[in-house]
Amino acid sequence: MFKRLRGLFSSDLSIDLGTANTLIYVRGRGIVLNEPSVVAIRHQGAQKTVAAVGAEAKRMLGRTPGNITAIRPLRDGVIADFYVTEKMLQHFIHKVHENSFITPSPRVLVCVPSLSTQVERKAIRESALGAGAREVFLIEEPMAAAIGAGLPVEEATGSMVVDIGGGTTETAIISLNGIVYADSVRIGGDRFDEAITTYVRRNYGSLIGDATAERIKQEIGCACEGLELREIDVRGRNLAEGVPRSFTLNSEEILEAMQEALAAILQSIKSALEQSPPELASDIAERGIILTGGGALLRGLDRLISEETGLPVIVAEDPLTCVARGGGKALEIIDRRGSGMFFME
Amino acid sequence: MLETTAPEKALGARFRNARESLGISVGEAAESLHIIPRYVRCMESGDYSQLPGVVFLKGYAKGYARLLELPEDQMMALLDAALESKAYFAETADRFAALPKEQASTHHGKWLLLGVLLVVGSGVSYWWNRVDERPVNVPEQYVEEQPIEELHAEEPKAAEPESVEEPPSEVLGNAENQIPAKPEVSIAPAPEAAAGIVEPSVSGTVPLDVSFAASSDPKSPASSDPKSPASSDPEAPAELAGADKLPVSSEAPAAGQLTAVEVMFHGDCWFDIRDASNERIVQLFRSGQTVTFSGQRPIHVIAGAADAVEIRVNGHVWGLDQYKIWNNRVEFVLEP
Repeated sequence: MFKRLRGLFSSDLSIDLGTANTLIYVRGRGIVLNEPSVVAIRHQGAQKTVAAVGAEAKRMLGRTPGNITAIRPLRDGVIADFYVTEKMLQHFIHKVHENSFITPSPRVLVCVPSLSTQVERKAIRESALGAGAREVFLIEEPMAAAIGAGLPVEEATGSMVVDIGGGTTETAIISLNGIVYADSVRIGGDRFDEAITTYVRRNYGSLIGDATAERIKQEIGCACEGLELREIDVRGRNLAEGVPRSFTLNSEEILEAMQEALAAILQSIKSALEQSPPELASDIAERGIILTGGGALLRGLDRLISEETGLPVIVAEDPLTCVARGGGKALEIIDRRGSGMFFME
Repeated sequence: MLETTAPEKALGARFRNARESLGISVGEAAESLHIIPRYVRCMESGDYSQLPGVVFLKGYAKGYARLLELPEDQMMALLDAALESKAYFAETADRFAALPKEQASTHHGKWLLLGVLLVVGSGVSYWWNRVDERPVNVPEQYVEEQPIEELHAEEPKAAEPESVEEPPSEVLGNAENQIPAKPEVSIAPAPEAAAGIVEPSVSGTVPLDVSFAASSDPKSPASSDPKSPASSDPEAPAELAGADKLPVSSEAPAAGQLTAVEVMFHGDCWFDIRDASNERIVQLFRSGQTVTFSGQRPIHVIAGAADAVEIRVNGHVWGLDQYKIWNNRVEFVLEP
């Protein structure tokens, strides 16, 4: 009863609860929040309190004193720490309702990996309810990504979408508002970062943090040869000498470092194409593959996939926000056609 | 087939010219882009209706611009301009954009609820204030039950017979005068007077005497409107002039049961005095004013500025040092 009353003063939200970033789309307002999925927890004896959430907490990653732990509550696209995820969602929901004088209780649509288990989905649903949502809808990430990218999902034609997130890469073939084939590999932006860290440790004998690895990937990372060669100066702790040392990395080295992760993504796409029904495969061959998610911003990734598959590959407009925007549009569809269209139990 | 417009033609012409200058055939371009040659021809002719959708068109155009080494941003801006004039692509691009952004009913419900809450809230607030200010209702029967003879019996002898004849509404809160000679006048008091809260009209120069004949009948509509300008009572001006004296009523036989509290204000002070019968004065007094209150003990006194008041009880100076003064506020009770 009270949730319904409070719901009148809340906006419907679509949440892309990602491993790396959480995005919130509000109906009528667009993307209102894009923050890292990081929570800093302060330990006071046996008691735990939230010290910071989002961008502020991310700045603390790897720089915290003993009593503060900066953690990422989601791993591989699913909840790794239920309590912290709930706190993070609560913080974000309040943040997007800052001007509201009544505690918000919105309808929330959360995007979940397509191959997530019942337990993982239940954890996400409970987490959103615990954070104050009055009603929770779950939608598969590739479906939300396809709607957000503007693909004709309701038509009887096959559309293929590859959503490369922080923790997972979702590949799906969609037709008539449904997912015909879906595959999810637990490889994403984080795996690229880990690969860079490992490469630097092995070849330069230096340790770099996650934040530095991510910066290297964003600035000079590339997925195929023949692109402009870029360089970056990096400082890391030399393992042999134990003191910080500076060295220079170039984009070819990063390509070499990420080869393994890229190959896994390519394999997932190829297996989707192999297993798609011939009619849909023909549609995809004619139209192409759409890339969404933060991983799609990796330089030359579209070219790599295109060369490997022989299909046109298109990076969606604003790929980072595709899933959240698609979720927002799906919420609008609920009001028009009921909640049975795309949603999962 | 949709008609082409200038931006599309211009864009198509730039693609074609660039391709021809590089010596690439349509087939070769299509092979490089991994798309069917028809799509290349469509882009060059500006006939976008043959293409699968705006998201694909943008992707193909970006790849084509890159292949032909054309400025990507410039070409995409041209394409955007061309697409704006195409209703077909607007629909294809964002089929769900046509859906209503918000459910109007939700919005209406929200504002309706807010309005109802506001009305209920203001109603409750009004009622609450009314309860606070509401006079103690004196049922007419009560007054009628009170025999006029008894009222007369309580009348002090000092009362001027002339003043008794005066209508009470024209008399300044005097115990004797409050007891009207004409009962019909006494049972029709001013509401403020019935409440037992007297708000005497106080001027900066003319001190005011207010007394309550609590002994006569605390609930009787005793007090009359002191603001009444139409006073024909010859005694009234005299009482106003006799500011620092206790009212005549205090000298009355009933005065044995009454305690006279005289308060002189040396500064602005909020003052509240209430006797056992709940007769009460509460208001802000200005510097230089004086107020006199007669009532039955216990008398409850609160002064907002303890250093701005001088209190005399039955003519004797009443020191406030004996009480706890907190933040220049003093509160005490004159016990029986």
